[in-house]
Amino acid sequence: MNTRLINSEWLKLRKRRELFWWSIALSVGVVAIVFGVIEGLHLANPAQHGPAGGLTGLTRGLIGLSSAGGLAAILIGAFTGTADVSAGVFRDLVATGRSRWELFAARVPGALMFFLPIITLGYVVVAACSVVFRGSMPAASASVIARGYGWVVLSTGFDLVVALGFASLINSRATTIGVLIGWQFIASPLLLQVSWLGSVRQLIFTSALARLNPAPALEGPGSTTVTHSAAVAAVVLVAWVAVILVAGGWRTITRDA
Amino acid sequence: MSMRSKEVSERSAPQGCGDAVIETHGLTKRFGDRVAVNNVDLVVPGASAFGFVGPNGAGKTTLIRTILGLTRRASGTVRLLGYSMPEQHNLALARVGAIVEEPLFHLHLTGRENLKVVAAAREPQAQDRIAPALARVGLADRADERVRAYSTGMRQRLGVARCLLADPLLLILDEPMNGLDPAGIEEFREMINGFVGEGRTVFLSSHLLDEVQKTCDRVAIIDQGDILTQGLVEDIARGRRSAIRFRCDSPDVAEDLLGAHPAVEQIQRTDSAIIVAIRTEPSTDADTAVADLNRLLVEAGVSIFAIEAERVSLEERFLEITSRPEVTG
Repeated sequence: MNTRLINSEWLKLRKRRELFWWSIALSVGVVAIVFGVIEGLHLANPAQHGPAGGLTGLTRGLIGLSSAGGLAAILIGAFTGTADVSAGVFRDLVATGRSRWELFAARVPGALMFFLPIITLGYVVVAACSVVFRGSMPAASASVIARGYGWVVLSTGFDLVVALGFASLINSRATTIGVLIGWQFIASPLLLQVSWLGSVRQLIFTSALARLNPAPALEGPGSTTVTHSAAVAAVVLVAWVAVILVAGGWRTITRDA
Repeated sequence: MSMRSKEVSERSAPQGCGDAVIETHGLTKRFGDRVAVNNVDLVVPGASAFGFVGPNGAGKTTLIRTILGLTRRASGTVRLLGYSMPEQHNLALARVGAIVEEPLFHLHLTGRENLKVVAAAREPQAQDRIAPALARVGLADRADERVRAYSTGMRQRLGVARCLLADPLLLILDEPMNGLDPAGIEEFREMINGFVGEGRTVFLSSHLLDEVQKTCDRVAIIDQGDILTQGLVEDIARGRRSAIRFRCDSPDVAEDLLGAHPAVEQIQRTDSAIIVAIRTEPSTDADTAVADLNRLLVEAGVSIFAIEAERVSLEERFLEITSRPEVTG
């Protein structure tokens, strides 16, 4: 893997100010506001509203962060997948003689380098709020906090890679964002409720991600209606990543520059 | 050859390709049923400024994109710096700098950052060439401004700087003078001459025929995907006819003598001179005929003040070849 190419992908992203601030707003701002509002309600009326933190707060924060941070991940993935072609720079990169596959492959780590610090900051806010605002509720253990972090990184990182591969395939930022948001928040929740689809629903990646979410184990709201093992869920996710990256890479290699 | 040009040639000499830096045989590119580039045989010799002219839509950019492997060809072969394309594209393109169509950039990045992005795709030494390249094109002071704020001329110069990251043996510049003011065009011409002086080859695609005539020593004319002719600019501009202007003390005598000579195809009398058109194939035949005519006049006692080649415009010849009167310079 060429580190100079990865750094140049990172450079393109971090210099995109509006993308940076939208990512911060979605990954950090949204959860901070939600915790702030719930804690405010609790302080105003403790009898009616529980504290924002504790184990319940962490569970809620996990779901909120995976959704809002997932949006940020889709934006970043869609931008990374289309940046060179839409700016008209792709042909100049190809004209250097560098393999197109290498140009494509550098996008994934470059985008993750940009996104991981942001989502980590978002999770730090969630974890800190769950401890600080726990009130009389039981606090989440270090192990639960660590598992929660792992899942948020997995879930949002998966969204980013899927968006990047899909955007590279169809080369449209707007369509990628529209399709993936529609899938994430409308189509896949509906499909997961269609019981006659049976075990086919195991192939839906949102179900696989929900299966690996530690929140259900904590009796949180992230449980899935589809039953499958963690191993099957992991295989489904790996297969999705492989298929979408191969498709995006194939398009990058074969398209006219 | 300057010391610098020796360095460029020695380090980057193409392997086993003779003098040609671009060589195509039977190159064809189709878009569906439409043939955009038709069976093109093109030879671009090294260390020259090679003009590539044709009307809009003639296939200039498509041919460049096909040569660079940016789009797939239907048939034919391409050798670039002696390497076979696309099989050895990484070796061939490592020493090629190209601007295809207008130079485009990430507008949210600065000029320097845009060069860093492309340098990352090249060999590690390309990073060290960023500052010299910016200085060479006169953008050192503006390199840390976002490209969004650059004028057309600055973007063209940044495009050239991007080419220089390869320390190129061959620069392919597609319509580089588009949108430039006269001062910018003059500057660009000097820059191209400088590159050729260093032993680099410049392949200049343009529809500005006057500029090509001023800048290039060789030219190929393309129309509707076909290469109609290629060779020295001087030869192509002149066609198979050389026009020579004689100024002398006895124009009447001279007109009779010259008009009777078998090499003279046409004769025209002006106030101060006699212009004769000599029908010849290679330019050496024209030189022999001029010497012959000179001797004829001198032996007849006519005093010759001047013998000058009439400047023939490439544009006139271009219109003649392409039969496309709408094309402008």
